[in-house]
Amino acid sequence: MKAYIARRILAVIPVMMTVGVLVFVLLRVVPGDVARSIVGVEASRAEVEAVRESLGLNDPVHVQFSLWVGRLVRGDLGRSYISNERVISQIGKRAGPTLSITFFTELVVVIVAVPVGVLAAWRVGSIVDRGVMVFAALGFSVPVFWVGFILIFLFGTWAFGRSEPLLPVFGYEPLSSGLVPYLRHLALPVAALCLGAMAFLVRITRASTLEVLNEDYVRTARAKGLAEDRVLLIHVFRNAALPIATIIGLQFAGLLTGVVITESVFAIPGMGRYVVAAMASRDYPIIEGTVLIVATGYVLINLGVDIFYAYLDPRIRY
Amino acid sequence: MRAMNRLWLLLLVIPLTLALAACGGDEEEEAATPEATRVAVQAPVIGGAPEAPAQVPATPVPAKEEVKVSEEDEKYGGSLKFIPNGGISGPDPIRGGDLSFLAALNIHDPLIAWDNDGNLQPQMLDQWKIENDGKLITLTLRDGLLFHNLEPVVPADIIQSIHRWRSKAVFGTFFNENLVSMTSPNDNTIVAEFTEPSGVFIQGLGDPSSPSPVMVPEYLAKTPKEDLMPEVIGAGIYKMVSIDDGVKTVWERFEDYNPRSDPASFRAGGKHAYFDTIEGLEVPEAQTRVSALVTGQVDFLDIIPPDFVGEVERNPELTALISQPGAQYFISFNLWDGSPFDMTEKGLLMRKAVQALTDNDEIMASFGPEDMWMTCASMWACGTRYGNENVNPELYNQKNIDQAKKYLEEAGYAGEPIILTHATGGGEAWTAFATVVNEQMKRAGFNIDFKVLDRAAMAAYRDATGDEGWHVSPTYMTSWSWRPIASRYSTYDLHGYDSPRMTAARLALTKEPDNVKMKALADEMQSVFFEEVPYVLAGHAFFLRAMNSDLEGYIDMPIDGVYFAELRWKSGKQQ
Repeated sequence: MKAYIARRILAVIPVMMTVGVLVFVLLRVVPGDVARSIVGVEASRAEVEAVRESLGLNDPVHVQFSLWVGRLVRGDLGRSYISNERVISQIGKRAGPTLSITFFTELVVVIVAVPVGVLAAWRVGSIVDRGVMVFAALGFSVPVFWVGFILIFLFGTWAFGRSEPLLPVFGYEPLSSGLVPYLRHLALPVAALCLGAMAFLVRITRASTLEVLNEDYVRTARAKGLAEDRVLLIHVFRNAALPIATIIGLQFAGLLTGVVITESVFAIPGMGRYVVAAMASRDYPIIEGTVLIVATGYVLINLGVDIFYAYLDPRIRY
Repeated sequence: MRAMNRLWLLLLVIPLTLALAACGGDEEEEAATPEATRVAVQAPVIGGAPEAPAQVPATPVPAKEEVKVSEEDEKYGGSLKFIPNGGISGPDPIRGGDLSFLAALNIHDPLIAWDNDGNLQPQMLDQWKIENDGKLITLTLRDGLLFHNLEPVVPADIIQSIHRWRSKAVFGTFFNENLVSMTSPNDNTIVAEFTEPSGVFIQGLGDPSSPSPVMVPEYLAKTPKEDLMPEVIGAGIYKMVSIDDGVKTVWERFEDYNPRSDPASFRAGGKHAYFDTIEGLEVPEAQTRVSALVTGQVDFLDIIPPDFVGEVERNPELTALISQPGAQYFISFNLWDGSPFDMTEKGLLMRKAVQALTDNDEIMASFGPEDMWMTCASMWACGTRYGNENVNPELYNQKNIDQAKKYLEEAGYAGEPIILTHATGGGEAWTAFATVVNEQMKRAGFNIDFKVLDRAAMAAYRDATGDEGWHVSPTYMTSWSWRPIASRYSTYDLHGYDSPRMTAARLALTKEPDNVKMKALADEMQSVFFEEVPYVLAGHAFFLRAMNSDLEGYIDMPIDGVYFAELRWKSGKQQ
């Protein structure tokens, strides 16, 4: 097991190096740079050129790359070209909202989607199953921004006919400002994200459970006279859990990197919005730093899932 | 089967019930809704009202009447939350960006400011004196001026701030070479010496468009112009307490601000900060911004897309502010050598083809309801000092496809691809503008390659000095910046526009003291504009802003940013 984990950790290194090189090179290929954003649209090209020179953007790409790698090795992600703020401290400030949304979304999704998926498989073909499948199709079909705006209308603008909004329609309050405001500000973005994520996990859980339900050993367990709840929990769910665990891990990582639209709709100062704004002005240190941090998170979550795999099924050793 | 039927029935009934409930609510609301609150606002001056004297007086007109800060003022306070038009990031007076404009208007104070009548008035100054035909200008600071760090404002701060501003401002280009020295003979006087008459120096110091001539402590003004100032310290009515990039900024009333004794008049006079705190919040999505205002999470919203006019106007708790003349929209061309629209004779014919085919009514209709825009055959904003619709009216709103085809034939255009670019991020009306231009150009036979780019990519293409990445692109300028003296686009090397006629007329205008001759020179510039066609003028689209109906005292600014002086809660403090 230890050797397996060590191999998986070592495999992270080339992945991160590839991500670093790709991010750096692709950014330089995309037209536009930060100099024009700094000096403004009315500035002359001479001023743009002076800023470009002072930031080292006129240096050959390999020189820029070696400087960047040198800073990375020292644990320095650099400073924003525009605000001059340290990228690492800015990412630290923005990680809270993104992690909060991701955590609560995944929590709600797992609590609801897994039992519902098992139930749908257990009662396959019933009205419950069909209802779940219709919900899943809807969840896949409606885009998250649309759900977000509908929720803003329902709980904010219209508020079911009340004079006061039921929930804040935008913004984020940290936990330090109190549990209630923290949760109230998270409610709508989490709800918006839950629909699609639930739909996906319900389908996976249902399909995986159905497959196991048809196995001979389940029939045998029932034939032995085991209670249905024991059959489901011990013989079915444990064996169906492998793909479900994989999806939960990937979904968590996907949410971490994919809440950009939700953060924009609800004006949440998370990492997604941070990097999108940086992209618009080509603030390279922010983009490179955020992508590296997020990619590291993604890889580590996958690593965790792989290790969990090995725990669930001791036969697994890559 | 019965189960399936029940399921479908359920699926139909739930959304229908929701829809009926929503519609029912609307009807009740409409029946009970009083007349919508809507205010058409116009900034008092844009480069001076039409009847205002253009010549800068040798010494300013003294204050009309003295007013004391009323005890009534003390009952005001509370807080205000607003959403600016753009993002929140480190402001710097000589940088663009929404927060830079906001800071220039509210955190800083100018030396000289426009009043309601289009006159320049001393603001941080007690007076100015122009001597020796404008070669010697003396600025005298008024007493009791403090920066937000409670340090007194001294001439060294002013001199260094002016140096930083003039290195970037269009106005600087008119006197930088003539400036011999700026010195301070005592604690409140600055003497500027020029080799040529430079009354434009005073006009520049009163100009509120970007970059703004605002005063900061000397050590901040020494920041290289390429770098962001490390702190935000001004001498204005509000002081910046914090700024969280991309999230929010918090301001507080500057209790030690010493207002002038004369009455407030646009940007001049005794200004008052009525709120204890102001919080600016960045909200990127238009729908969320409007919802935040409607639900009372914020009190003031700067720039709302025209799609939401109805929603704001129907709400009795909001006041819609339609700011005129708003922004002017143009079709711009890549004029660099090699572009099909370059400065050659053939390029001119191609540009004239676009000018001839343009249906301005159709374009401007894409900006929303009819009272949100206007067509106007003037290069300078209509209703302002230089606005004139009688210079070349026949060259505006021609809708002449046949003439456009003739120009194309003369130019030898044979269907080569024309790259029409559209930069994202300007809202729905902006996108519609580009789409209509695309359709109109196709009608005349242009072979359009419509490219949608982000702003950074668009800027990169525009910085290129050849036929790279773009040929035609919709653009806009606030009416404030599109003025004969302050206009940037005719002086800088953007797009490759190089016109001896335009440059000569503009330089003559900056040196001309006579009102009538200045207007004639502005007309000449407009004539060149319509004949050389560096841009095709589309029209004016007004700005829509909205605020809580319990607010009063709003002073409109025809530029990006909101001016919070005099704005206050009607009831005194916020409920």
